[in-house]
Amino acid sequence: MSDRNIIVHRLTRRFGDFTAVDDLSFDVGRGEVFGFLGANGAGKTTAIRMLCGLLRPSSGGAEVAGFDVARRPEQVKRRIGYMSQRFSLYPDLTVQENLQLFGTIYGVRRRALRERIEEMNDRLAMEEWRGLLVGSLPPGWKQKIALAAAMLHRPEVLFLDEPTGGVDPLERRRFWELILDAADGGTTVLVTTHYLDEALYCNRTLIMADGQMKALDRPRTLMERYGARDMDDLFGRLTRGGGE
Amino acid sequence: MRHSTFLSFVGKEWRHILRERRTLVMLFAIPVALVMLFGFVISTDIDHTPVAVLDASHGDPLARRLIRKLSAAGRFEVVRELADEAEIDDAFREGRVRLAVVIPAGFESDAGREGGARVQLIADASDLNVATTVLGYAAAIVAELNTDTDIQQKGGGVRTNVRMMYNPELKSAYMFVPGVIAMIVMIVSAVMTSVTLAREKENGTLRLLTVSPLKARTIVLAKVVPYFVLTAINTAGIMLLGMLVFGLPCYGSLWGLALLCALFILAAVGLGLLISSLVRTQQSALFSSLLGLLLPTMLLSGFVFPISNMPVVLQGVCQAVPATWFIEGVKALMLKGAEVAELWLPLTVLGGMAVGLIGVALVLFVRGEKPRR
Repeated sequence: MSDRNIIVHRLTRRFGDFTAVDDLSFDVGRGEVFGFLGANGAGKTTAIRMLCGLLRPSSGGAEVAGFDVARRPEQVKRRIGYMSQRFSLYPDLTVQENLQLFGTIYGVRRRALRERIEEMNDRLAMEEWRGLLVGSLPPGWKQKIALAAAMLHRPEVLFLDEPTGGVDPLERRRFWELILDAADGGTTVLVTTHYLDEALYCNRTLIMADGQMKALDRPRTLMERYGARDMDDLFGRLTRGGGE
Repeated sequence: MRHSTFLSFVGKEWRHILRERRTLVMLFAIPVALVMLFGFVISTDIDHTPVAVLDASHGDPLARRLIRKLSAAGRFEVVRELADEAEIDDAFREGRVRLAVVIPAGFESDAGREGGARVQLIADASDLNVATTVLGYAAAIVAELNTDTDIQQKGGGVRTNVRMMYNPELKSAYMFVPGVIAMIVMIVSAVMTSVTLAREKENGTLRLLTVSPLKARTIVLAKVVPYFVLTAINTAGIMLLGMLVFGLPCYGSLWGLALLCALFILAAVGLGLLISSLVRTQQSALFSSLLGLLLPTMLLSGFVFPISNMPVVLQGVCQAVPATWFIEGVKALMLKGAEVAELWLPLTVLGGMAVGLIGVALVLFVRGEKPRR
């Protein structure tokens, strides 16, 4: 297997006359943090759903963790983790119960699961939350636990679909430390966000508008190339420019 | 591996159920309350029943003796003397009497002759239990009259001729028990099952499950188990309460009854799953299952209105309501003491419905969660 964990080739998805994702091509390497930037409706979520094997591409294709997403979605699903601020864990189960449930769903054996939950416990310092219902946690903790649940089976690729919505900047920073830790461990991370400051944590960012790729490079390189003061400025220039 | 995933998933469903304390309490308290209410309505100890007497013999000695005997035991109280047959109906309609005794002209002389005399006992059968009990008391008093006197020896005697008014089908209050069970089963399994899957859609937890390697059928089947068990316990509770506290009879096989209930519960769970695979929110799940399931269960199953009195088209609709077959089966088993083999039709229909409904729900759900084209 190559060192590229995500290979996207001319990925396209149409809904009737509307093209949600238009001819997208890019690769993401092992251990890379790859940002997906775009306004709401730019096609980020549609792209992610295809990469997770939830939605079939209209044309083109993608390989995730070495498997074709359209032909082998089951194999893909086993090797990825998924977390989104919109899709929470079970609010009426405790932190511990949620972690156990999701570990089991991903086929982690009992003993290994116990060890990994302990490890996660130490890393997140979440001892005081463990017995509490997820529904009663503050938002920042909900997200951290959801991330932990998505990583228990040590996925090769981690999809984070707007993971930090509604969380204050300090919590977001802590959250990102976890993401960067995972990437250091060799996990490929694909993250969508509309917090532009978060794009700076990424190795590379892809900027999307109207289903199309507008730019793809290191965030700082992009800023220099387009003469932007910061990410906000860059984003504005690229998306408001329209056309290409 | 898949086995343990399934089990842990069933465990998760149990946790959801057990954490909703209020719902759980309601689930068990409402049926108990219903059955208790019921038990008081059909309480069978009856004294001082008001009686109307129509004495066409105009006070011959045997007739007076019968009337005296009736009031003597404290069971009856003669509250009205009627002049002719037309007044019987009025007496019942006013609700003042529960039994009418009609003594024919020439009562005593007939009783002494070959063939004997007939006294007619008319009861208001709109409350069948009361009617049956009252008639039993009255018949016993007439029998006593026969042994007290020696009229029987000459081949004569007094016979009773019983007539039930207002309820020719003789529907017993017990007949409501199967209907109540059908309602409870619908509430617990169908309504709750439909809401639980819709809740996962609404909360977004379903998305986390669909991106996981978990099979859609595991998600659905894991929901069947706890709701089936919960409803089975509930049903058994209602039956036991009915039997132990209120003397609800079960003349047929208990295993047959268990089988019938199990199939009906599965069909109800199937209906719940079907609804939840079609709707998006808990609210629409609740509305559709209440309107789409509970109302037909009440109105189109023979529970409230007898099916045989409905227009032909509606009778056809009734056949599609699982509760119709369940109620028919339970009545046959518990009240008429039918053999299990005689119930092959309701059992087959309910079994078919259970398999069919769960199957269709599964297909719809799996299709909805499969990668879309």
